[in-house]
Amino acid sequence: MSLLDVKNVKKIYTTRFGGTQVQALTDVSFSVEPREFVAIMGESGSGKTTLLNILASLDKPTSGKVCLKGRDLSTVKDKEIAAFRRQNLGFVFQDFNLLDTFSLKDNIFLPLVLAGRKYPEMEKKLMPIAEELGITELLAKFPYEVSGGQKQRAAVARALITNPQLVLADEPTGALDSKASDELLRLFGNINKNGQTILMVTHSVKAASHASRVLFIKDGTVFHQIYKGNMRNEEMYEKISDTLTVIMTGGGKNA
Amino acid sequence: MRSFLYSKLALTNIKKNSKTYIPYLLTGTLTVAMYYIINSIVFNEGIKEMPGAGSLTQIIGMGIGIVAIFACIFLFYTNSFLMKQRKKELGLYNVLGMGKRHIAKMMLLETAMTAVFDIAAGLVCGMVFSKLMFLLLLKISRLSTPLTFIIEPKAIVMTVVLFICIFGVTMLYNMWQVFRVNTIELLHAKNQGEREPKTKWLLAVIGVICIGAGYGIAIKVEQPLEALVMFFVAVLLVIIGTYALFAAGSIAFLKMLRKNKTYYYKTNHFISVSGMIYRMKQNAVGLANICILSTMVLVMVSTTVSLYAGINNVLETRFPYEFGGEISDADSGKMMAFQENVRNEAKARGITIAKEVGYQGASLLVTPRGENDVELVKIDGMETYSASAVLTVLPVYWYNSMSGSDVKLNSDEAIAYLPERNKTLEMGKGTFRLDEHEFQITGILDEFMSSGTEAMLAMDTVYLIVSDEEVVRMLMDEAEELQGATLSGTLGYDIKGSKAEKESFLSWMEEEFTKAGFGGHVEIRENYRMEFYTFYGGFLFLGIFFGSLFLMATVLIIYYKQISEGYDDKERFQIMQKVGMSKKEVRKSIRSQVVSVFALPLIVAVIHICAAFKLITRLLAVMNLSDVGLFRNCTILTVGIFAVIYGIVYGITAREYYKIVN
Repeated sequence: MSLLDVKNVKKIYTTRFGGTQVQALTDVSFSVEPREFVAIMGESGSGKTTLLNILASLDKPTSGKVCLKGRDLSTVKDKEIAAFRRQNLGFVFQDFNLLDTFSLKDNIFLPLVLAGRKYPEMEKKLMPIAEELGITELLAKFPYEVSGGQKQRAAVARALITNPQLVLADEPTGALDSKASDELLRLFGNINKNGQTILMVTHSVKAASHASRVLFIKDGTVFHQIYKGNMRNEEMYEKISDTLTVIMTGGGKNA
Repeated sequence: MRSFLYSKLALTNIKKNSKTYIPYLLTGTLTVAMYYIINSIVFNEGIKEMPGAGSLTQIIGMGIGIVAIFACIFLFYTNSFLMKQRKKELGLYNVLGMGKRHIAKMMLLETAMTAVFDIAAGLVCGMVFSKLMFLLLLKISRLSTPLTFIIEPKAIVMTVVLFICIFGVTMLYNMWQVFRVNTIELLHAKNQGEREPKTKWLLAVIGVICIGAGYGIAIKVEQPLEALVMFFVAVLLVIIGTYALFAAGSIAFLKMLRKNKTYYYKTNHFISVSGMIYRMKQNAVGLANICILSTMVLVMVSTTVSLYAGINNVLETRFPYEFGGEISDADSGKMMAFQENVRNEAKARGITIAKEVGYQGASLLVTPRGENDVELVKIDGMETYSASAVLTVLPVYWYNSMSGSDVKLNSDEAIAYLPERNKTLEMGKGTFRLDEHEFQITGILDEFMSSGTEAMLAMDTVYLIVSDEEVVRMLMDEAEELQGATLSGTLGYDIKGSKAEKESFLSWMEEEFTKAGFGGHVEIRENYRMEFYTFYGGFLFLGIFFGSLFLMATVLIIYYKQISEGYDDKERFQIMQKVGMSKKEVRKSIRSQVVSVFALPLIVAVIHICAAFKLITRLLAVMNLSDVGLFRNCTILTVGIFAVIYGIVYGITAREYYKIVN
């Protein structure tokens, strides 16, 4: 069974006074298997962020279904939605979204504290994750005291500490320099190898080339997809670039 | 054409920032109006001609200075708040190609517009409401006068001059702000100060010490006169302590909570404790301001209201008898003749004398050496009085004549009366020493008809009844050199009868008193009633006036706090929702933090009031109010009403906060 199933998802935004309607997603269907590392690519305005918000249960589709481990997200009650999100999903954002009022350690603990876990249990969970991400030394520091790359690693630790079914990453390398980006992508690769399913939305060809599968979204539908298979990152990079060129030069209309 | 652009820009800025600007304009207007009103009352020609109004205008005149100082601090404070909020906007203008000179020009126009609006609107409001306030003042001070109220040109000039100065200074400050900082700083101004605050232990300790010392003084002071002096010391200590504790103590306390892991890592505590640490850093001064202003409002309103409401008590304390005569050079024969005369006349007129007091005695200034042991003091400056008490010595035959008893004492025996108020002298039965004289105190009286002067003196008074006038004279001669003590007589009467009867009898008594040729003076209680109403009415008016002024300031500070908090918290709560906090949890956490931040100043203010209660009752005693129960009730009532207003203001401003956060 697929971990995540997206079936004919459609999203229409209506302006506040019911005037014009904007179709953000026309018809999106795809599924993600466990232990997969999927990247979703598309231009600005292609509906990437809308899709991610729907997957994150922050937004609801106009029609269609999203199932996580067979459970339809639309059946989760409003009251439980925050807890559901906390238990099943981990988030990594472009702008880190760490709270300045907490040390990195407390930032990482945030979802566990919200879930009402005990302190010794949290401590136990933190150590291996912090070690893997190389932030053990930084835990007592505050977000404004560390670099962007370090912040993002702390954010990844926060996403992983609840052992989520799926990690959703929104342009995780968007605010990082190339060195920090490489490091983060390497870590994503490792985490994925250890069995963590990741779904990443990105602009960056380089980031996408680390994924095991890349989906291309255009005009609100899944336009194309590439499997990495046994390709090296460099080959994957080239293939993605070529595909993008085709799409951008109007391939969509002629294909 | 170009200057037109700037004024247009300035106007748009005011409109765009209406959320912060409107309250600023409103307070500016109200401050101007209140300053005009208080000036127009003092400069009013009509009021000057009223009898007894001299003291009234004097009291209110003191208020002018306070309002002026307050207006300076307050308008400057709100202006700097506005500037802080707008730094980013100004930075943006700079980036977009406006030179600093242009921005300065725009700011200049903005401040000028604000100033013109505030002064003009304030004067109009002032003129409209001054009539109302004037009527209120006349009503509470019971002055009756043909209303000659007109617009006071002098008051207008005073107001315009003061506020042009204030706005001039704020303008300079704004210019300086624009020129001083560079563009990048302007753009990032709001992100500064997000660092975790350090624990300032020293400051926290100073805060605790100051508050402790202030409370200690307030609780320990017994003597009214000492209370008068120490009150300001205590107030100053508590103000310093409040600032220090809000700034440092709160953070130290929260960090201690954070160290406790099992407490800290609970859903409720986790977010509020860490959030509060930052809030306290940004808000300590603002909250301390709210706290101190609230305390001032509460003290001022509760004391002036109780003085006014307790005016009967004040009169009875100050004038214990309807007719009171003080005779400085006493002759017992003359006094007795006067008493006889009064009794006969009363009988002839069919008037009952409800109470009759008459005695001669010497008032000696003494200081305690120990229990039942005092010495005469040499009068030498203010300090002499603060640790001293008055010992009134009188011969026993006056006591017998008043109480109708027949007590006989040997020359080394005495009876004492210790009023409840006395805390200075410790006396009881047994051997009592006064310098080298010894008396055996054989009895302590439960009751004694005392004179009103004890209340006026602001010192404790103790009565010692001795065998005869000779003993009194001996002690007096001894005190002569040190204090210049004299033998003085006291006459007091309460009478029953209709108002007209009383009035005519009292004035007859006054005439007789003069005829008798006593070197002294007469006080008739009813004649002072109006004067007291004028005096304490003036105080009440000032109390209400300042109460509303400070309340307005409190409201504005709360409002600004809520808004700035809102903008700061917006981002934080968005992140929390993304990480997996439900809207409900976010709302709950916001509420608990905001409520605790805003309840804190009120709670501390109430604690301050409780600590100051005793000290204030002592001060009220100096002002002749001895009814502690009345003051307590007035205080509770004032606190209650204030808490309700505070709650309403909080509720309204909290709505603005939620609007911003969501």
